[in-house]
Amino acid sequence: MKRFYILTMVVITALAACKKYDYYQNNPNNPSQALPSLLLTDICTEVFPYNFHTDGSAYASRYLTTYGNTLNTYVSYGWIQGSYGGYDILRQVKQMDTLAVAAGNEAYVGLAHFFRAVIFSQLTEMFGDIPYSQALQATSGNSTPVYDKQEDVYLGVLNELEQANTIMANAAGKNLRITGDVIYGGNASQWQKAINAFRLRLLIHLSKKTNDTKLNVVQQFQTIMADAATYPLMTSNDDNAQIVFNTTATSNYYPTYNSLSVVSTVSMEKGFVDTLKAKNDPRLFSFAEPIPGKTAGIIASYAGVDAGLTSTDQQNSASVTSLINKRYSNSMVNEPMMLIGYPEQEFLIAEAIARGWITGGRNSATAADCYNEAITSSMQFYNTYAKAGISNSDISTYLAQSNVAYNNATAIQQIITQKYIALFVQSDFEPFVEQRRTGFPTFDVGAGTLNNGIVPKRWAYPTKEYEQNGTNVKAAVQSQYGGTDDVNQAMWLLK
Amino acid sequence: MRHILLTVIAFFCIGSVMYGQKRIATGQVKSSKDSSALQDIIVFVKGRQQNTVTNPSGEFALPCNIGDSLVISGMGYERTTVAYDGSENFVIFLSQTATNTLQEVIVTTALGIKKSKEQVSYATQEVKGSVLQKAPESNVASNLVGKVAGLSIATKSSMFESPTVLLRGASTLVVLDGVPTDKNSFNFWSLDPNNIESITVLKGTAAAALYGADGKNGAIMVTTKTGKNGSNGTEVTFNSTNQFSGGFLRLPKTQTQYGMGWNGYYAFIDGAGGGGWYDDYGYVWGPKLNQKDASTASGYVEVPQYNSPYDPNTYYSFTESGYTDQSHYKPIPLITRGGGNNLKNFLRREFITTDNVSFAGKSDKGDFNLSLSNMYQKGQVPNTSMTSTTLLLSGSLQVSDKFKVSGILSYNRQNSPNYPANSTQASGSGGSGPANYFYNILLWMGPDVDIRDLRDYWKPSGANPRPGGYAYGTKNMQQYNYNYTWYDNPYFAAYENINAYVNNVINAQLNLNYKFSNDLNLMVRSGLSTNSDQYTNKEPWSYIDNSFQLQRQGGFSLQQDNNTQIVTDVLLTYKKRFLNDFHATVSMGGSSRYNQIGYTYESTVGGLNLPNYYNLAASVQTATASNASAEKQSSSVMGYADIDYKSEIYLGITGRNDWVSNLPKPYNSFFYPSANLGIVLSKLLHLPTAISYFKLRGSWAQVSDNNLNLYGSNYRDWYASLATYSNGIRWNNNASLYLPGTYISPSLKPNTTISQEYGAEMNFLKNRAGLDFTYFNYLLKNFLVAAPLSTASGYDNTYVNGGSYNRKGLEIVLRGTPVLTQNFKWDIIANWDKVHAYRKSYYGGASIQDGIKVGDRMDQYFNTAWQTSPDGQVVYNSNGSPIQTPYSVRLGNTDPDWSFGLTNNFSYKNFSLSVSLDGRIGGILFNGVEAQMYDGGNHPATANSYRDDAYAGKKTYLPKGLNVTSGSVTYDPLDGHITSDTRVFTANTVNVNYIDWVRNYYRAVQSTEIYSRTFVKLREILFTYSLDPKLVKKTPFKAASVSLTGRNLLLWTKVPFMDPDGYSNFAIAEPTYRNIGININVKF
Repeated sequence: MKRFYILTMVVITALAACKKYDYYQNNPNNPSQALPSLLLTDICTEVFPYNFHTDGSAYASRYLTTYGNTLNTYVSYGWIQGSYGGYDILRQVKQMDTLAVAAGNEAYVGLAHFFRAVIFSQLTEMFGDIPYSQALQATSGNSTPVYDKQEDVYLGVLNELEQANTIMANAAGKNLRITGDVIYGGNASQWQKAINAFRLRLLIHLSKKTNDTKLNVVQQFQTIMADAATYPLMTSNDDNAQIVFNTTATSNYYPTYNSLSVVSTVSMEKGFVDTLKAKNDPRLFSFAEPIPGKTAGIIASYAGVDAGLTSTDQQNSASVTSLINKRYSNSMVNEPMMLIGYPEQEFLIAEAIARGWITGGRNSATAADCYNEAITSSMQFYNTYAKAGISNSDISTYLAQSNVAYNNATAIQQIITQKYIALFVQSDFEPFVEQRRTGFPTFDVGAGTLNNGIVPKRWAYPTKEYEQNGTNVKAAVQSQYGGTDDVNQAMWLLK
Repeated sequence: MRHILLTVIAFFCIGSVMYGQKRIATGQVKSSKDSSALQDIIVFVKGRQQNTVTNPSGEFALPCNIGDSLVISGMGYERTTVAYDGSENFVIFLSQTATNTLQEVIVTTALGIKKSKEQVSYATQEVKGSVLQKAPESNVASNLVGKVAGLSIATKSSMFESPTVLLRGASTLVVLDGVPTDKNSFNFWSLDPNNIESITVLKGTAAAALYGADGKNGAIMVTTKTGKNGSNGTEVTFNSTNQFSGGFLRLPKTQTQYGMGWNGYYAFIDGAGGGGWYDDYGYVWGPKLNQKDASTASGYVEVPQYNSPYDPNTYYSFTESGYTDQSHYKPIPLITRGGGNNLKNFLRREFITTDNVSFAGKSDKGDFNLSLSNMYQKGQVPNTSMTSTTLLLSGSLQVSDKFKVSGILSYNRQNSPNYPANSTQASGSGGSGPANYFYNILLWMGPDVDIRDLRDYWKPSGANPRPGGYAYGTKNMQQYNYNYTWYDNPYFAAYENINAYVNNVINAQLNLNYKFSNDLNLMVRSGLSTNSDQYTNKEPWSYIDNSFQLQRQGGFSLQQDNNTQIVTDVLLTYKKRFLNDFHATVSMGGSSRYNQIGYTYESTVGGLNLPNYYNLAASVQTATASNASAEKQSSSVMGYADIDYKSEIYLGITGRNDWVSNLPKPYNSFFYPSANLGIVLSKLLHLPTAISYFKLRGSWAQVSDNNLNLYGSNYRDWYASLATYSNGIRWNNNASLYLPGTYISPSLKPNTTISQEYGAEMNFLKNRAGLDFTYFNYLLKNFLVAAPLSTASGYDNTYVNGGSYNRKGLEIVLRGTPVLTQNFKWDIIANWDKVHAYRKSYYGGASIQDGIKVGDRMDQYFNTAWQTSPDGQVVYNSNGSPIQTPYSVRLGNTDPDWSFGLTNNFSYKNFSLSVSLDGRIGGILFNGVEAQMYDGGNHPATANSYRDDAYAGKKTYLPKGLNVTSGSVTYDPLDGHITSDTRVFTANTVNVNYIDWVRNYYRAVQSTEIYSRTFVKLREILFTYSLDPKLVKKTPFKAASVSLTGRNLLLWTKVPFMDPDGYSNFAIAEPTYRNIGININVKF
């Protein structure tokens, strides 16, 4: 018996370590708990436009072009499927919302509504109908969400923006702390301005849907503009919803910093450069390098590469055209990237006035006032961040030019074109979306353009949706596009 | 293989008896064990060339005189010398040797338990430590190549690069003296071959099932030398080997006729590519070299070059191809420099020296062994070296009749002040990029460069500063090179970009054995292993690393890893004989295992604020740091029972249950059963006398992994079942977290291996020849598969268990002694194996994935290819461009069909010769190095007249192939096979520009660079002279020998430019070299 006693003791000793089981079930490298503030920082860096070079928005919007053995998908308009990557960000937003409710900090709940509105609206503008009401329910057992009509998505997100504004107003009133806010440093009032400006953007996007009685686009726009106390708006570039690059970590540098490929193979696009040259636009000098061997700062020294050409032809013309300004690869910081900024807000108001939705802006501003203010603040933006050195008299001279000065007859074209200039490598696909809505400016297409030489209107749904959520995506394609999921179909928004 | 068997049998027929002497001695040879008559025993008269062989009655007759010494020897028996006394009934008893009969061969099995070979009914194979010690490579695993059937070792040529070790196609557990190592931290660098008594390979799952999950792919059991095998008293052994490189097995060649540049143009204008003369373009498609020009001083065409004298006040004019330009660099002759031997000129003679001294002794009360070893390797890349030092202390003490204590303590320190950046040990290196010396030399350095001119690698003062670059003329600021945009000066990289490594490894164990009685024994063993390594990287200013950044301001980084493992086993063993014919050993016990790992990494950011100041404080931006750690505890109960019936039928069963801390309850408990059965047919049945031993065996085991193995990195694996946040970007000093896209369901189970193994062991002709045959079939199932979810549901995927495949194969070991005479002995051992994996099912029931159908081999290689006609000719379009297949097509299987190792040992008197060959036959590889050499213009085949024509703008090259005149071809998108083909062909008649063609043809697809990976290596020759025992007696030595050694002597393969043994794809490795050396071994 003694022998077995010894054995038993030894085995018990060996097994005793199992008592500390819970100790080992705790990952020291990755936390299982989080704070809403920690998710907010991540969400800000995901939601705010991050890299025009790798996400292709600057190529699709014909600001820039790049050429290699084969053309970039966005240069050639050869894309087919879009990405549902936005839902990955929405997962973070949902988690932040859950944690905020648990922590009793409603400011993060308000921000969650705003971010949901931003991402769901971007998703619907890429594809058309998308999962909205049933999205993000994998953990509660629904991994095949139905698709909501684009109209219903807009209804939903506009409503969420209304809620977001209300919640953030309360948060501002209570002085709630919003730590982790790398955009406004925890200023809830400024978030309100961004929320309302963004709502104006979505309403303008719906300019073809003014007759929709559920949305009441014009009325919503009027309500916001009429009540400055409830719906604060941006009043200067200081209110821009923008992410500011910094030198605290390499990942905080301007995304094209130190890139050998950007410094050697990214050229200015011809259509964009020609637009700027026709207007003697001094911002060109902040955007572009002169043609090799020519003097910087003189309009004639700049030229773009026609992104519609074949790869070889683009490459051949590269030596007599302008590369993107070297500061984009030499400077760690450069200008911030805006989700939505003051200049854009003023263009949106100018357009609403031009369309007759409202009679004037805040403080009785006319359309021309808003238009001029937008251009002026855009130029000041480059003075601040790119040492553009554009003086007030330069701006006056610029605004006085006949092809710049606000003209009722060509108001929409002017506003959209000037907004296009002001959004150079900014705001992700917003310039593309606005070109799609208005037709301004004309994008260069040609022998290098795929998709039968035309600019696509949307993205096809991801292949994975057909594999994992086939019934729902096919029903959406059937109801919107007669069963054909291709890039040239016009979504509800554009009809 | 068949001819070897025939050779063996043929030599058995030697046995002619010689007559002619006046007196015939007759006698009989019997076994000392049971007095049975012994057949086929060789009897010879010492000192004469006469011998005979005993008949089936053990009798012999041999002419000799009374008083002559008769030497009697036979396979499996101790060689015995007796004096012939002339008696009529002269009987000689032979005792069996300890090594050649299976009953007495001792095998080290799982947990370090020693069993007789006959008791063991699964495949094992042993390698004696002595074969590893005469010509040791720096990594001892390399010395095991070809020695064990089923153990595949792909050797590498770069210094300090670990060979790939696979047992039956999978990585395996290494066990040191019964204690399992941690598979994540153990590497063969820490093993000193001088301390190895033997290595036993337990090939299958059943053999290692007592180790639980770790043993699922068998185990390599290393037994350390102790003092107990020596003689009483103290014995001192000195063993020393010096080996140096004796030439190359594979040395890539480059063309020598065309210089750097593009399309025939090259001139150094400003070093920044600004002048349009391709001075920084990076290709070797420049002008033809060595062209005469009567108008120049040298008589050759002269152009400004990277090494031209520079004068900032002078513009030198030059003319090339009809164009005239100016440069501050003086035109110099455009000629081949360095004889085109840049690679050879860069490399040094590699050298390895290994020295060991050991003190061993024993007495009735115990034994000890003290050993000190040092290995130093000088790498063939300049400024690279490594040292490995090992101190071993081991001993045992018989405290009382019942109680025995033993222990082992070994300390190993590996130290490399700088190892080659192309070694896969180097962080982020080993591949294709400027950090690899050979990338710079082989692919992109033209023959107009003499690499020896680059030895002074700092840019001299007075040279033209590169626009936007750093000021030249100061040491430590700017390297001097043939190109300043894309490549590094290899000397600069070797002497200034420093990769240092230190690793301290400690292994210790304590064994307690208490014998309650002859039947009952308690064993307690606790082993600790710990290692801590540190990598240091110093990157100088102006160094171009593989990220090709614009800013080149160097950097400094430190990485530390530490691993600790403590394993304690307790086993109570009871032996019992019952029902007369049955004998049983039953053992029960427990085990506890604790693992801890830690990692820290610190690095400068944005470069160094001062050149040559390598410290985190020199970081331009704030230095960055990261760390990770993990712990795991498992507790087990285990036991085994071995039962035999009359030593004819052996049954073994084992069981183990683990409870692990790294998985959620109730999925953290694992039971690992195994069983093995052996039947000794030669005892049960009456077999022909030629068959001296015949055993059939079979085994079965089921083992689940107790890690989820989701991430391939231990830090997260042990916590993989826990849903956690991940650390996100740190923005403006705000930390962030995010939720990963994988939904972790709470019921994840690890994958399971179910193994079956069947084998036979046969010995023939009194054990003079032997055959060991094994077939195995593993089923691997329940893999964790990332099952995709609709991203709109909020998660990208979730892990589920599913999918399975089989891994099966054959192993054959043949051994024999074709010749055995008084002075001459020839032993052969041959190993042969094949193993392949076959897909059995996919998660979700798919029948094909990534081109591989259910039932197919899993090592199929798919990639893009040129379209070909049914007879294999490349199809060109009307522009003369080859047409690519629309989908990836099957290019072959990457695994070898089979592999083999063959060792012949010859001994004659005091001389012995050992010759080892091995090889892997079949399989394919993609030779990316050759593809890149075509692309860059450095491939020898690109030096031809078509190149001159292409420079002249002429399309003169006619690619061999076909054009399609009508019809079409369609391919299956799933696996790329042709589904329909109505094409009609005509010979291609479209001439093309050679450069356009060659760069496209060899680089755009992989099918043009697919080679058979078959190779055979003459791995080792050892020629040893042992001092005659008579002579030894006159010396202070007990024994002494000297050996000439040769390793990696010859390579037969059709693969150009690279050694297919350890490399494929774009791995640009050091050339493999042969080692010639001398070994001295003395005992005193």
